[in-house]
Amino acid sequence: MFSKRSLTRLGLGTAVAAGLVVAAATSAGATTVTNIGHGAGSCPAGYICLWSEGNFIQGGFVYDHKFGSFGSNQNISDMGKLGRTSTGDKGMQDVTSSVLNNTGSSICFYEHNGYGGAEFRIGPWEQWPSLPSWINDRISSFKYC
Amino acid sequence: MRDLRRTGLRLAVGAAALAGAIVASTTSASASVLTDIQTGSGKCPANWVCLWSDYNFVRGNPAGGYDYGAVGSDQNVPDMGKFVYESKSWRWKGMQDQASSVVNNTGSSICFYEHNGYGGAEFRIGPWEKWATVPGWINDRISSFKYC
Repeated sequence: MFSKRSLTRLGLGTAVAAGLVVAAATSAGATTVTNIGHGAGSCPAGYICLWSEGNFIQGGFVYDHKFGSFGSNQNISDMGKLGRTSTGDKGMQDVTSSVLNNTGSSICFYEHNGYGGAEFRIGPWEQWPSLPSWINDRISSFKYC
Repeated sequence: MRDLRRTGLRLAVGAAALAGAIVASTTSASASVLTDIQTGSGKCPANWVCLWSDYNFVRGNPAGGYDYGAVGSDQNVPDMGKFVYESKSWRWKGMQDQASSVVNNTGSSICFYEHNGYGGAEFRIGPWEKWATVPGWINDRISSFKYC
């Protein structure tokens, strides 16, 4: 009787652990999405999104060398390195002109990589179709704050 | 940022627009037309007016792709039939007489018209209004629009 119960417990424990691993593996990949499209409705729930043009417009770049928009649900310390291409790193550094915060936390954007330089802080759920000129085309990193 | 946006206006300035795309600009203000608006009312940029060829803000495939399935602009558009001149096919590409749903993401009223140059029947909507279905008398008939 006693040993049977233990076995059942063990079985349950394993199943729970397995479920956790699977869940972690599925959600871990979806942290950054690039080229999400125009419009505030393009930003996933729980994400912070940035566009290279004002009014949440996804711009295009010569030789497609930068992203026109992207979103993330985690801190980004170097916006210059969001992805790799055959010619090197691809990102969206120093071109952001509109941002949207689809999280319940405040978000701080920074002039430099590694959360340095001028800081632009916005509140939960805020939408900024245009940015103050001192930070426009200058954002290089951001984090929950 | 300046960009390689897909607009007739931009194409008209050609080399200047290309040069602007390379050099990081200081302003994000630019009046133009977007022809790659996707499905969903949330896909319309802030402060813009958007039109979709199908109901419920669905980007359709009008005229078998000869016309755009959704477009947006932040300025008056007197001729919805002429957004981009396609030199390969020697024809203008637009979205005339196709719109079935519209979004007004501006603080102004917007008037849509049956004919080019703001003529014929007028369909007026208020600031921030979203119409998943436009009235039958103007459906598939919008040919121009302006702030009003």
